[in-house]
Amino acid sequence: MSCKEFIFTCELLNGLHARPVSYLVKEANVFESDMVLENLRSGRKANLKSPLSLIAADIAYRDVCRIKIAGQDAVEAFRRIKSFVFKHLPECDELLPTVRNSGVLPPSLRALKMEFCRGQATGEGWAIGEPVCLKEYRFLPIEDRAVYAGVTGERLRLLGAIEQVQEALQKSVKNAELLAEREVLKAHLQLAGDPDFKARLLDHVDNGLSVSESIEATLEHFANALESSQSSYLRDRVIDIRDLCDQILRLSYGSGRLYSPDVLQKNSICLADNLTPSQFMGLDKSHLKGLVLECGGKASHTVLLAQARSIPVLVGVEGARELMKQADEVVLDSGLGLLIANPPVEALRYYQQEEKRSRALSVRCAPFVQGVARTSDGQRLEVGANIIGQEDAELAFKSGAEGIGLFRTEMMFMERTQAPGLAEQVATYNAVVREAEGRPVVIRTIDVGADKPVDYFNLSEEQNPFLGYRAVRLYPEFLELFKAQVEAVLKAAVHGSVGLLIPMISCVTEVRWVREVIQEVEDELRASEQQYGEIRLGIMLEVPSVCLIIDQLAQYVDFFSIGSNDLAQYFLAADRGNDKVGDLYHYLHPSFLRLLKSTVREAHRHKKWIGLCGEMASDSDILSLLVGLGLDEISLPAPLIPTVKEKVSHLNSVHCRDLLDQAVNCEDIDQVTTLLKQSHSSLAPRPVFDTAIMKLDYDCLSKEEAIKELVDMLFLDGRISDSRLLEEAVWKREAVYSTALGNGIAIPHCQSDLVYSHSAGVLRLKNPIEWNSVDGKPVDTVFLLAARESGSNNEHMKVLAELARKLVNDNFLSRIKSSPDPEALAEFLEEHLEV
Amino acid sequence: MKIVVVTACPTGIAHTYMAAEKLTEAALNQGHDIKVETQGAMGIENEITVQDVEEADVALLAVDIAVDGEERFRDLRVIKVPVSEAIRNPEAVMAQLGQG
Repeated sequence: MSCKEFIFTCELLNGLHARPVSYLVKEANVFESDMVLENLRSGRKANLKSPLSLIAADIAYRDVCRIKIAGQDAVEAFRRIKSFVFKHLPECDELLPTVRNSGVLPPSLRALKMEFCRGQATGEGWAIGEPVCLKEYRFLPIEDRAVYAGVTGERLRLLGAIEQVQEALQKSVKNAELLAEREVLKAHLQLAGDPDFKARLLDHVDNGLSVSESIEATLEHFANALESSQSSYLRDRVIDIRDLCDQILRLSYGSGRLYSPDVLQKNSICLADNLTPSQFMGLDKSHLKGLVLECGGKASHTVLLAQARSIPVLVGVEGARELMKQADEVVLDSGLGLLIANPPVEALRYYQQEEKRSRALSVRCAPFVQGVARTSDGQRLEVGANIIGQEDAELAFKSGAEGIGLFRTEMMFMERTQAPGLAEQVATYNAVVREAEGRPVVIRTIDVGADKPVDYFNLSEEQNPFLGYRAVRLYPEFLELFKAQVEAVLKAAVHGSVGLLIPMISCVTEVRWVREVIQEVEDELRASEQQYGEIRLGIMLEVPSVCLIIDQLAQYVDFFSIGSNDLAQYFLAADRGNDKVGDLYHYLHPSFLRLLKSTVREAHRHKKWIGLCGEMASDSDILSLLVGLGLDEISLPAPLIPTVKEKVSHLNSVHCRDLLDQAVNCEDIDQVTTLLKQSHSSLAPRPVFDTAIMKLDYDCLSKEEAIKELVDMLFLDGRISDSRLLEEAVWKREAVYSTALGNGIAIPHCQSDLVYSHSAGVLRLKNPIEWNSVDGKPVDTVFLLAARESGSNNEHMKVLAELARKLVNDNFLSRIKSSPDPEALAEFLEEHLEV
Repeated sequence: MKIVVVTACPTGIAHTYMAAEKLTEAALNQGHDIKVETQGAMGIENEITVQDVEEADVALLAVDIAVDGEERFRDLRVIKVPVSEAIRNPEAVMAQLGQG
């Protein structure tokens, strides 16, 4: 028996929370040794095999900790755990919900006199409903001494209840409707099996406490530990433990011991100090329109569940209870972090406008979800999705993916003790291919190496893993594993169009070897009379060497996929994660653009399909360069797909090619960036006037409403990048002095790079409104002039100037005011202003 | 009377040109000779030359912001008004010039 220890500093920004903890516990559980972690800041100790005790040790960013390992296999355990803690733990962080700016209210709301309070914005969406204060959460007093059954009896009661809870959770995990629900239930299941949690419960019972007393004491212990945590993420986990304790209590004594859930009668905005995920799941979703939580943070599982059901949530709202108690109706806006009591008519009209806008936005996106991406002059660019599993595939196709451009399979191989079997792989690939309904699915074979941890590969440490033994270079040693993957992909190909993509190819020899293996697997399948489908073979272009032998490779492969992240790093010899040289890494480097240009040209010269996956594909600012390259496909994260498809539709492929030619002749990244900025409006030329940005006889109560309507019209017509910011820019100008200059005309305006191309929106009002006009008269016609700042199209700018000149002409004005419809007005304006 | 004018407003896409239009109309109505230089988002247009200045009787700056080349008018009588004033009441502005 030996004993080893080491000290480390926690480098996780969110502290040692659930996800990294689960990895650490998995590592620890491989060994027999006892392992104790001590947080040297707080003095708290934790069992390295108990997730809950690790979480309760409240290890925050930069906390120094000691891990002690004692037992038979301590030496090996020490080596493994230490290597994991130093090399992989810092990478285990997950993306927490980003903090959104809940700052200033939009102009339409900030001018209003109304009663409201502010909380933390948690996402999108708003709702209106009757305020309901949910009953406070608490244990009902239990006269459990009357049913006390002695230590043995109480142990049985407790163990029975825990077992039932686990069974119920397992069943719920299977039946969960939503992915988010399944994840939360899984987390609860893990919690229910936590050794420290169970040990503490049993300890109390052994010391003579009843089950309910023990649950209360255990809950208190973990809640105290977590609530004093420095990490809000960890504080948010208390609710899960409370939830689990609830369930164990209920199953120990029967449901009468807990309060019964509230019943909602009509559309309700519910307030609670705290709500467990189970309580949330118990509420009637048809009436639950919004949720206000006084305590708790926005990373709690309750908030995540509500978001998964598109129910807007506010957290940490001070004064919400008083506000809700005296209101008949409230509006909850989770985007703005706002709760309004008895909203005035102007506020309701603002939300009607928002509603109209979001409906119009989904209508606008619909053709891009369903249709294929094509430039304005008809050049195709397939837009595919990057996925890591079956669940992603569903979302990808819902978002309009034209195929799966990159299915990263290594996630299936990580976080486990042995490789997934053939059947499991076939099932997963089948599911994705079926989901694709004939659209192409590109499955990339396992891409691991010393920098991506997979235990059972037992890879030894390397000086330079990035240039070392990884991806296709491992396959000869792990031949059976590679063959199993090839076999699974071949079998899935029966159900659709499948591409097999090999990572990290650097020479022809590797490709020839891969082809031999595929041939071998096919022969075996044929010999055993098993069905398999035809696949296309592709390789990742990540190593610069292959970009120079496309002609040779083209004899052996069907397609190419550019992995822009790695290709740029290898090509520029700069690690993008390294602060000191990160600046040298950029895919807009002219030399890199030249490499891409010649590679795509070579691939096409040999009649091969070529796509691009990697960060570059999701950078919509450089979409024109990607179109200019003439790529057949780009593959990106699903949520970005509709917007990218729409942007493609505004581009002209000839202009894009010109732009690329200019970009490859730039001397540095800055020149390329400037070029892109200046080319923006000439790449997407839109007429200054358009019936899509005109409304006649519009019913409107205020200047705020009119400006918002105009800005929304421009946004919905794809002319500006952000409506809130543009609205602010217009109001900033309006604050200098009123833009209403008599004759019932107002011309709010601004010049900004939020504007893609110069635009003049028109709103003719049914009833005139007040606008502080210089002649004191109300305004009935509003022109919004929005000009782009850099790279302006001068012809269009002249149109705007000409319009301004004409607007002081009475004749011109009366023609505008008497135009029968938007078509006639657009025609009149185009005719009189040389467009 | 020959008037040289510069118009310029904060954003330079609307009032600069409206004022130019209004002032030109008012001056011609009153039989004056006028040349208006606009300093807007498209830069300087219809630029006032040395010869224009030499021939002019008065300079009018209908501006809300600092403009380029104000020193060109140092030997002339210079009247400054806000842009909005020029748009709202160009005749009054013309009258102001005449009084000088």
